[in-house]
Amino acid sequence: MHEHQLFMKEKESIDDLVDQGYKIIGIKEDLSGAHVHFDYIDHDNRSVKTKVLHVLSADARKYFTTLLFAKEKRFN
Amino acid sequence: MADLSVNLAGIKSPNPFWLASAPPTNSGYQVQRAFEAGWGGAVWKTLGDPVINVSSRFSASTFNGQKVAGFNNIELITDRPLEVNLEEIYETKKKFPNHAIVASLMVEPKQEKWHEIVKKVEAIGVDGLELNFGCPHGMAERGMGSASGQVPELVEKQTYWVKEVAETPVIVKLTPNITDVTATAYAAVQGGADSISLINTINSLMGVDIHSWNTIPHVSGKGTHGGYCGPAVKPIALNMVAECARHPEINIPISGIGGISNWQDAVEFMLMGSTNVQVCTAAMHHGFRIVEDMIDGLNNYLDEKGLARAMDLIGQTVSKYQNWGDLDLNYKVAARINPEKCINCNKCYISCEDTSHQCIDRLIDANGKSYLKVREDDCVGCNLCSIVCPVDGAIDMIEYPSEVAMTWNERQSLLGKMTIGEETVS
Repeated sequence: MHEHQLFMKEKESIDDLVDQGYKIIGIKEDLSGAHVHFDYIDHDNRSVKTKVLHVLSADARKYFTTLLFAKEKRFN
Repeated sequence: MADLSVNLAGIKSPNPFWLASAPPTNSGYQVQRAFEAGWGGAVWKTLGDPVINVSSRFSASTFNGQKVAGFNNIELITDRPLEVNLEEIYETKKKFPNHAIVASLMVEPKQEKWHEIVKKVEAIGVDGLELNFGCPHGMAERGMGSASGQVPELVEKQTYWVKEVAETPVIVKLTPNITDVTATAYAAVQGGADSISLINTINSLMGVDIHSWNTIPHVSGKGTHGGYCGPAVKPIALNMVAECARHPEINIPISGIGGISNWQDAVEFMLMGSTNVQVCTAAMHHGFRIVEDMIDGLNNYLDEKGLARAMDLIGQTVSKYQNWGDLDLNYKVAARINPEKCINCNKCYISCEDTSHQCIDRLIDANGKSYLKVREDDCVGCNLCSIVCPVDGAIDMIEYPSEVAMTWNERQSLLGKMTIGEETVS
């Protein structure tokens, strides 16, 4: 698979979770890539569902951190 | 007409183009010819205790028809008596009072030796001193040159000794044969230097004759390492100048040296923090009159840029030279092949497919004609295809500015706040 196709597939997975209302709550990076932890927070601010994406491509690892970074910049 | 004059730590010259301490500045005859041609200053070939030079001294690399792409020498400092040199310096200064004459000096790392030569040289009227802590061959075997220049403590101590008695500005010339040139540059600052100059030559062996098995050059069948300079070393020199220029504690003027061959090279060094430039190999290759083009070119460039003074260039690019971790990860360039100019030589395809990121496709159009196309989404912007392409303008690197600029350091800082334990991974 071309790098870009892998990136697009991983970006789609990230976007799907974000669109469903999941938020990234933690990240672990290691030799195998990034393990991105998403939580779905309900109206009572409780974490009710957790998903973990194993992100391999460099562009996708850059993508999810850019989402977080842009959000952080908006709030700062 | 812009003002080309520069002032390096109090040493004034009518333009930033100086001849470096080397064979071109061996005698009054040569330096006077150089000044007549238009050079703004000269660093006299290094004065010091008497030496004897060997025969067969220079060698050069030819690359794809480019003569003197790199230049190697095993010549030592001046082999003429100090008094002869001083007399010629005096005569030259008298004839050219507005040109800069700097004496390059090298003696053993002893206080009294430095005091003696500084006093003798300054007595005849030089504009400054350059301490040769850079020559990598011959003299280094005797504890001088780069042998001194590779030890920050010796650089600091010897600079200090010179400053104890010097009345003219002191430039410390640095060797590139060291892991981190800012360590010795900082030592020069600590010793009280008024300026640093870099780079001296790089340790080198030009080659081995595969027929005779002699080194190139050889002296009666034996060789020794030399000092490498010329166009091939320019990127190394420019980086070292830049590293010093952006170092917060190296805050003295820089004289840039290393492969400078034309006015464009000089502008690059000045933009990267050099107040002036010193040239050797290009003058040895083409003669002193190359300075005419350098002066015209710099003058026209300054006019085009709307700058009144050459000194307005100094250091303008330094703030753009950063650590890798401060570069924007989201900035992207991608290659685009211009079919009108492409000659279908496949150089780009081969280089990309074999050694880069496999993002160029060989395709056939509706008329059966083959063409090359970059899959821009897969292109990482390495530039290799445009580097190997033999046709100017056949491959453009298209810029895609980032919507959200984010550096590696910013990313890692963010991740640091969000890192979670290993046990949670599923």
